[in-house]
Amino acid sequence: MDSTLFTQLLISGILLGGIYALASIGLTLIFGVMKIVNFAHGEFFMIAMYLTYWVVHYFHIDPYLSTLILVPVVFLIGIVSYYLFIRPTLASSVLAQIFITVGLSTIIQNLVLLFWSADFRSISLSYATDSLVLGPFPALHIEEIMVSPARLIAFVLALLLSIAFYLFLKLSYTGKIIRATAQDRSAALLMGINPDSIYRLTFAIGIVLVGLAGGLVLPVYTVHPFVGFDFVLIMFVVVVLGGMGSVVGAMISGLIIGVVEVFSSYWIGQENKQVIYFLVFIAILVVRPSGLFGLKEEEELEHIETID
Amino acid sequence: MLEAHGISKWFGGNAVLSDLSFTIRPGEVVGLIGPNGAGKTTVFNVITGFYRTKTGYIRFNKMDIGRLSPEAICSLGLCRTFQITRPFGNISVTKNVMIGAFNQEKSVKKAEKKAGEILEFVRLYDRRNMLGRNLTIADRKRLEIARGLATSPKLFLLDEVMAGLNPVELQEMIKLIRQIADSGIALFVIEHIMAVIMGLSHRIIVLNHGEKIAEGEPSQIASDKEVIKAYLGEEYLIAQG
Amino acid sequence: MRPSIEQPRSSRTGLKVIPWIAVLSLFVLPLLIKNEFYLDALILIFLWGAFAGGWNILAGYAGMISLGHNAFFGIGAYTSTLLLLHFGLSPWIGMLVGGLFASSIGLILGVICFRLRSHYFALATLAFGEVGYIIAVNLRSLTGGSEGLALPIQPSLTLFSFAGKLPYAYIGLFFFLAVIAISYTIEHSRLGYYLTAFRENENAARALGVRTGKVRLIAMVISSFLSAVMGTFYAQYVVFIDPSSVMRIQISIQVALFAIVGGIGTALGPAIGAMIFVPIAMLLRAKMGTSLPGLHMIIYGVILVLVLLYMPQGIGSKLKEKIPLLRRI
Repeated sequence: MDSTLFTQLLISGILLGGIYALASIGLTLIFGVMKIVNFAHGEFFMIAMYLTYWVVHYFHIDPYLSTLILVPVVFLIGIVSYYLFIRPTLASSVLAQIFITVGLSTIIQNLVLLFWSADFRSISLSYATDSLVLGPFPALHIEEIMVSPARLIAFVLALLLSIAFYLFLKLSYTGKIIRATAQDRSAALLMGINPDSIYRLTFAIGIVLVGLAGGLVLPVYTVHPFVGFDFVLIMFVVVVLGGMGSVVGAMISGLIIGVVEVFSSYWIGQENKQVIYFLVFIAILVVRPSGLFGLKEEEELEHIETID
Repeated sequence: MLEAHGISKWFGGNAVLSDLSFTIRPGEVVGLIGPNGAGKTTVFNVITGFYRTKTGYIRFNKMDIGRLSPEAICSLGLCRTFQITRPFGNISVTKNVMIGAFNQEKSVKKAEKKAGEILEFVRLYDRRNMLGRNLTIADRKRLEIARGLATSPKLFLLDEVMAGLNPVELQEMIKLIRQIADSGIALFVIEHIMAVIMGLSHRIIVLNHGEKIAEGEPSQIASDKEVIKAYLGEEYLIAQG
Repeated sequence: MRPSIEQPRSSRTGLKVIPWIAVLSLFVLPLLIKNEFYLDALILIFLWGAFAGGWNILAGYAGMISLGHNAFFGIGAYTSTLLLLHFGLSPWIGMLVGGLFASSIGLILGVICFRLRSHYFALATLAFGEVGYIIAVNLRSLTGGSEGLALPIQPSLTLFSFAGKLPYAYIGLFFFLAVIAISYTIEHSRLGYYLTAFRENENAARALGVRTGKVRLIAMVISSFLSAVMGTFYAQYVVFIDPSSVMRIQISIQVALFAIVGGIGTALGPAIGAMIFVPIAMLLRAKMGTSLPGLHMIIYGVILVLVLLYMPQGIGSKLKEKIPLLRRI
């Protein structure tokens, strides 16, 4: 493969990966703090896309601005979902937790199908339709590289948002409380932290993050009721590779998966590429379930008490 | 019957057990005591196959069990209870015990019968239809013991079965353990309540920081300097003169 | 109110008769239904009820939640159909072949995912199911891709093809009852007790000598076998299969729904679930046709969420509590 093609694919992969990273941070955060796998995560992605679409369509506001405007709305949706679906299951069996979010996912998908039909919708950016051309870089033997401006903008914004969130988590007081709750629920309780409000906040933030990803991606992808399902599978791969509960892991593996997808797509075709990352997924789950940066070895023997 | 030699266990950089050796002979009641964090439950975990020791060996009835799974070890006749009881909460007491009984019995009827007998023995028979999760602490401890007995063990490891019992329950438990010992089953008992363990055991092993610091008959242990130091500290020894 | 005591099974002869009456009436039922639409609904109840029962063996009894059982169903459907189309092999034999093939794959999957629990296992099976779907779509030369495969309609007993619906109803009934019987047998056997122990507390079970690895794989093998068999039945009844009808993840969610709402981990639960949901779907389709797409899935989803929140042991188990007569089962 010549270096131009390689670089082209690499860049496309990274641009894609940035979106995957942002979308997946919320999923891994929710699991890290509440130990809940949100099977409906993709549906919030999809709803955000639809909402952004309607705002763009009816008010003719720039899609990125629309996404920003909608953040409070998406946040509210997250809070409501938390109270209705997540909070009641926190003390339930794993079966209940899995299937409530699965049920939620089904409900949202089909509500959207019912009210907004299965029609594909898309928008395009008025100000950036032509591909940007990078290069050539004769010194590196690379000729021209084409970059879609919509993808580039999405990537840059996604990257900034991801880094901003990471800093929030690392440096801010609230961020520290969230991380503390994730690490040790009982200790957090002893410190006077109210887990319920942390869970609520975490869930809503997680939804906002994936919603932002959805909005950013609207100029690039068509939206339909089941677009969330396609994305959520990728998000699961990213989260498991990065380590369930690790935000850094999600960011890095988002990029990795983006690159893997683009290269696989090139080698074995668009339709078959999914098989590759599913096999990767299963391989990770089997070989190293805690992923690259997993918080702890989830799959060791349930802790045999060593209280002595 | 049980021979452990040079076993060790590390967690991260900490040696939780180091170079531990001991034996248990058929029909013996051996106590395992030591301050908190000494590694007592870890010893049980290693013996029963939940943890692996990288050094030394563990032999049960001359067979090397160091690499065996917990379920394989149980079917050889080595059984344990858990310090924090783990009843099967959503099924009845009888069914809980039957699961242990299936270790030796193949048919449901025989297992049920055996479970009934054992429940009579531990005096849980009248609560046999209660769900596991609704039992009191004392009954849970009895259930742990009943389940283990149902597997027909030759050596039974008891992990703090006295903890959390009131004086009446305690007396009953002591009686029960004596009865088990009298039936010929060897016992290896972790306990914190000194008076109890002194009274029950033929021999006591004392652990501190993962090492054996003393071993012998109860009367010897009670006056052993190292033991006193471990429990009460250096100052106490000095104060005693 | 959850029960605090487990009732021993009643041994009064009078009550023993009731399940047999129910079974007998099921036998007579297909003959009494003249309306084709209702008969079709009955057959689908049997089909999905049996499939849900197969899923329940792994998820309910062993506690291993699979979101990828659609793959086993699809494997069964495609295996017998392809053997029929290419070799003229009787679907009865094809059914067995499909079942064995699916259970081998199930065994491999079980071994690969040996250390995975709960969420991770669910995710792994989800990925597995998706891979199945993608293979079905993309291996066009073998599976006919998205266009699917049409089965020949040539009424013949050996070719598992019938002109009327009645034979399908009785075959369906057979599988329906067989799965219930298998579940019941497992539940009251040593295997069942071991599965329960594994599900309740794996380490305690191992400390009692339960070979948790082995019993889990047994449950996986039985479960995948039954799912594949029902896939073949589907193929023979609907005489058309394609990835979206036999391989989609929605299939897994659907059978999980039936089993959970009916009563997970019970022999009758999946059957009850099918009896509740299939008529709902059929009714909606009859009343509204395709004008309100997705409505039945919304209703399914809402019921699932409500049941999980307020009646997690399922409607079947709830009924058992309220109506002592049913405790026999």
